[in-house]
Amino acid sequence: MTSVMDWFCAKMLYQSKQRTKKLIWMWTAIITDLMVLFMFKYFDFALGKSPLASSLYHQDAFAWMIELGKYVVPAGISFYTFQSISYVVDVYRGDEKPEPNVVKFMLFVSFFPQLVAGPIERFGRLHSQLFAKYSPKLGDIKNGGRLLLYGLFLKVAVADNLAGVVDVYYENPSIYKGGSSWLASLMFTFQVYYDFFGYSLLAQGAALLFGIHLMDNFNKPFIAQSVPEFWHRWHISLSTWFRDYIYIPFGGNQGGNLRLSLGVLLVFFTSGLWHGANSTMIYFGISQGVLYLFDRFVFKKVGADFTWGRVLRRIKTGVFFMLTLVFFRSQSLPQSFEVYGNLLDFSTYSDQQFLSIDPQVWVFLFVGFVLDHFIILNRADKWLGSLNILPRWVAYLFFITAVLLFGGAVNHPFVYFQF
Amino acid sequence: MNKETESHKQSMIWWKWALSRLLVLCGFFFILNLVYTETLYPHDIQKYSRVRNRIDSAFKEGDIIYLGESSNSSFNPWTDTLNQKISDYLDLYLPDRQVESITHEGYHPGLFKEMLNLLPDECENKVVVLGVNMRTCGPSAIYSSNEASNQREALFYSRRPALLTRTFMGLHYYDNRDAKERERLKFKHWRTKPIALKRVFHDDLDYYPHQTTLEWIDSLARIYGLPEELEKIKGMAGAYVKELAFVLDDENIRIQDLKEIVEICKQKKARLVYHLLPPNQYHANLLFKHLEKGSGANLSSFLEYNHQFLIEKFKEWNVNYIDNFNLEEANELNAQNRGSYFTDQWYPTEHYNGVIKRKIAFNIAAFISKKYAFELSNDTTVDTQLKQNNFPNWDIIMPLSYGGLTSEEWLSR
Repeated sequence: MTSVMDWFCAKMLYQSKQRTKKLIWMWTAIITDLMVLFMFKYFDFALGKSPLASSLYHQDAFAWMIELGKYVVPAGISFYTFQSISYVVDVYRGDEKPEPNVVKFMLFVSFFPQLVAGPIERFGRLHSQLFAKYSPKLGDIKNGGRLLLYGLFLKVAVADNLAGVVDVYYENPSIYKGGSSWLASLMFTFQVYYDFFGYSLLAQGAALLFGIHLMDNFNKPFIAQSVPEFWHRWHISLSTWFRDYIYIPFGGNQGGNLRLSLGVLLVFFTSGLWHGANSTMIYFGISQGVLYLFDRFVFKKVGADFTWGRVLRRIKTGVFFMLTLVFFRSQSLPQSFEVYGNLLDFSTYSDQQFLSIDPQVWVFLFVGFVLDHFIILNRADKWLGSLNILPRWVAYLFFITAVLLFGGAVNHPFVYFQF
Repeated sequence: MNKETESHKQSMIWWKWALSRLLVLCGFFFILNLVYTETLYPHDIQKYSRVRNRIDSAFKEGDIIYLGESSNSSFNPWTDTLNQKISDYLDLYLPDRQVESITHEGYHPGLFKEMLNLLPDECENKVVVLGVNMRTCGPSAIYSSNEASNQREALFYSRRPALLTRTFMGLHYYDNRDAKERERLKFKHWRTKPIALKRVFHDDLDYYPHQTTLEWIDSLARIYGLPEELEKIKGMAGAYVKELAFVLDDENIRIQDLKEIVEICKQKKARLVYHLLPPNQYHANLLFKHLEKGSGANLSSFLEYNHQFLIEKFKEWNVNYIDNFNLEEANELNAQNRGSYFTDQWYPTEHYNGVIKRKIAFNIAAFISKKYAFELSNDTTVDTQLKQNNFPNWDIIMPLSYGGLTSEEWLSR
């Protein structure tokens, strides 16, 4: 429904001569998209536990909407809504011409490899590839296969095993103290990263089998020396979307420090809300925004001129991110604060109970991290393709063994599927 | 001509390229399977499949294989000091036969079906006794949040290459729907499956107040202003409705599983005996006497209808069965003993004390011994064997059961 609406509005605004009319069509599309998103994702959250909520809950129509939001959220709604909005805005700005065929437009919105969790592609980039004449290339198929294998390794052997450890901690954080809490937080940081990075590679690999090149969504985020740099390397398609459609229209860097700060906070607040309809996600977003500003205005380039300084800056950025992820993972705000309390609890250095981690989890995490940050300079498919046949096949067989024999036993859907 | 030769050459190169890699992969999988089977597979079985190791030995050594869920393995902490299972009593009653049990909480015919596929092909003399718990046929059990882990476990009940089993587990290739999805299906069932059916209620349906299970749950939730003790009963009644207010039919997945089990046992020539476990009818009836007095809502109609349905199916499938549904010990004697013969006082389960367990075992033993001419010990012999291990006192009234009052007395305070 939203796709048809966006397609129609974009067509109408393109045909309109007056700016006001163009604006009306654009906002009609955006508001419709956001209303549908609101109904599915935020209605229940917005009502909260107010008396109004409980009275509405007993009215069939509203109870039905709440149930709808709980159980039948369309797959990837947050992703394709943004993709669709960017199309309308691009047409409004004159950057793109509208697609005359509604079915082709719907294919752009629902292209299956990136439908459920991105990368959020722009119309200009994806559309031209989708409808170009397809001639299968062996190189693309090989590279697609390599990305699929490496993505599967990161998801199944690394992220799913880490998820098992993190779940144990978050089932009952109160029985753990400082050591386990830091370990669980660190493991969750890598779990989210490898889960989402793995998914992005799988999406890229699947698309490449059809000759379609999707954008890179991650670029070694843990070598970032500052929070702003981190967000240039993490979930790039979302960060650039926020930059182009919220931050810059709000004033960007041009309106002085106050406007810049408000813009950053707005972006991160929206980002938090986009991630999930609950207060923990909003705290996650805002805390990232505050740290972003802290790095930009307070920390600046301190220590960036010497090697150890740069190393410490990287650690600092990683730790900042890790700490804010506590909000991301917790079921509720009280649980987040309990975990923060645990992180600061150094009353005894030995935990009452210590998280145990199987050795193979460490091995895969180490291999994944080293490969990703120190060996693969460009992208996994290119790196694998550049190796001689023997080391290449050793790598293939290693990844295959890890996936077949050491996949996490508990089913953990991709973290970003819920968005 | 040249172009054709060139294309042929190219195609040959491609095939060589693909085949060589395929061969390497096949060889690799073969070796990996061997290595895995000998090294990590036994650990994975222990870690992820709680009874897999029992299955082969039970099927090999047992003359009688008892398949059961928590009714077999849960114990009353005050009175079952001996921790005897139904299958243990069965063993005492049938001294010349080896009884082996495969039991775990939350198991159901869907899992037993997978296990029975592992029975040896020819096993004429083996008797398979399977406890049929009516509650496991209801939506609450079918869409239980534990089901994904049960299904993962069932991956190991197979003779496929170990590597494939591990891969299926790692890639979650089984019915891995999460708790939220199962909850949605359960609610859908409660909301859409009609329960006010003529075949269940023989009287005039115009007086029946609830069309679906969800309506019933909702109506209970809307009973306000109850005294404290009845408020507690309300919660318990809700649990009983959720667990037992359903109507069995041929579409029910558990009924289909039970039917398939009959086929598997026929194929393997095993002697299958179903025994129907008694639910807590005493509480099921009592609860609604006080909460929905005169409304016409009652659980006993469902229990009785489902009971008859199961019996009809057993007859239709031509399978041996023992009907313990109306067992005196689980009904009249349980009522006389203040509901104490069921371990769980606030939730519908089939967790019995020793009196019921022993009686169930006796009925099974009596049936089997008559049918297959096995020797049957009498009660005195069994008592002597039990007494050697400090005979339990089954007359203790459980502290949970209303502070010593009968349920009737407690409710009418």
